[in-house]
Amino acid sequence: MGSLAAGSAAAMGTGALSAEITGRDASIQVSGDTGSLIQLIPGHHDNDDSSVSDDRVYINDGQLGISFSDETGGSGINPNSTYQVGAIGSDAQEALNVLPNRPAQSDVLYGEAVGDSDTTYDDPAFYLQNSTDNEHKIEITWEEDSSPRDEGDVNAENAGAAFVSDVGSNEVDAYGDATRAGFVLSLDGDGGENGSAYSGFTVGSGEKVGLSLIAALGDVNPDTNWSGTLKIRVGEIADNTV
Amino acid sequence: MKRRKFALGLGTMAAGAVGAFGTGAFGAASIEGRKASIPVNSDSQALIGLIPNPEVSGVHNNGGELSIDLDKTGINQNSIYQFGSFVSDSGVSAEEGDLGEFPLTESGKISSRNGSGEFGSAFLIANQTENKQDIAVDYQLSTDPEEISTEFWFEVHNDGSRCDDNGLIEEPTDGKQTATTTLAAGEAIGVSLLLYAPQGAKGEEITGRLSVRAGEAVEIP
Repeated sequence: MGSLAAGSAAAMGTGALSAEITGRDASIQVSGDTGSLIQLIPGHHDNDDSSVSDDRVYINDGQLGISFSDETGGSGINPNSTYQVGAIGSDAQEALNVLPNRPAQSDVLYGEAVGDSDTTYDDPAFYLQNSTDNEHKIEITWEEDSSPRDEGDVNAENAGAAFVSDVGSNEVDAYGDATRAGFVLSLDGDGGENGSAYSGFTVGSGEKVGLSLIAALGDVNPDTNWSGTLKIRVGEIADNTV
Repeated sequence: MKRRKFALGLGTMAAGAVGAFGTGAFGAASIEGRKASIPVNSDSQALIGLIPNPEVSGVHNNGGELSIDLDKTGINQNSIYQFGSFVSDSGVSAEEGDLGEFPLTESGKISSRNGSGEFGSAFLIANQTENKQDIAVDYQLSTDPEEISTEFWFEVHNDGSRCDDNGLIEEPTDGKQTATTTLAAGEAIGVSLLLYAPQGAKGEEITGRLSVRAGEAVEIP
């Protein structure tokens, strides 16, 4: 009995504890762009009234893409032309005006900015949605592979393209190359570090922003093109460049 | 000889009887009202606490249990997602592809909770007992690692440095990996997670189970 008591005291004294907490699940799914924490959603995805076709903005193998080559054979945009994908609202147009080069206000073809009722948020080329639990900075970089301006005699005055947004929500703030109300990302190849342009938003949990694309060309060589990739950086990593 | 044998037998009986007398002095006894209260608490409040970082998406307390639930809303292919800060990028590199600036690192006591309860890790494993405890974190992958191209790394850290023993848990090839450390009363280790889903990874599902052992259930190597 004496030893029993002693053993008991020792156990209490060290507070000996054995615990095993098992089976906490970790499940990770690699999703398409429309089912992930940071979603890229074509404007026509949930909107039958979208002006954007699924040739232009599409999901291929789970990844958003934008193309100007249609299955019917038409491809590219013309010299001396403006093409627009998605509506451009008044705030988005304001953002567009901060660009030193074209496209400019007078190029806008469709949307609230030119008297239609649609804002960019109503009818964008694509949405960028924060489906995480938390507010995040979301930064977009255009990494250019080629531009009509690669030709020596083409300058910013006659070849401009940009993604724009009317931020349009209290849960979203634009920053970087943007105004308070709108967002603009110039596809000019020299807007940021290493020949990249970047700009960003702060987007609340569950909120989304709509982005439209406008490209305006002057008298350029018809064999040139814009080509590149969009890089989306979210959270802490977005702070590194802005 | 016979008598001696008997004496031995008696001695043994007597020794045994001391215990019996000690507890059996009453024909019957009823002692009431001793309370044994063993509350079953949620992971964040239990003696060994598993505490998700509210600033980090994808790590939740679901019905009292910590879970990493990136299955309904997943990660994109051709992407890198980091959940919680790392203290070091040492040893973190993708077999195919470039992790760029990842993992993002933060120095300082990122695994410890400051006065406002903030911490940098995806989740904490906290010793909420009054005593020092050995802790082991097991990661058991259910998915065959040969079947997936997605790569991942768990970093287990304490006080701004990686735990010495398996502080970096990579995609396990033998089904299970274990990090171990010792925590003083009130201390916590943090766990953060980095995921790299290369081109072509869409549709992959990675499932696994995290287990935490504490105290005598741990053998520190």
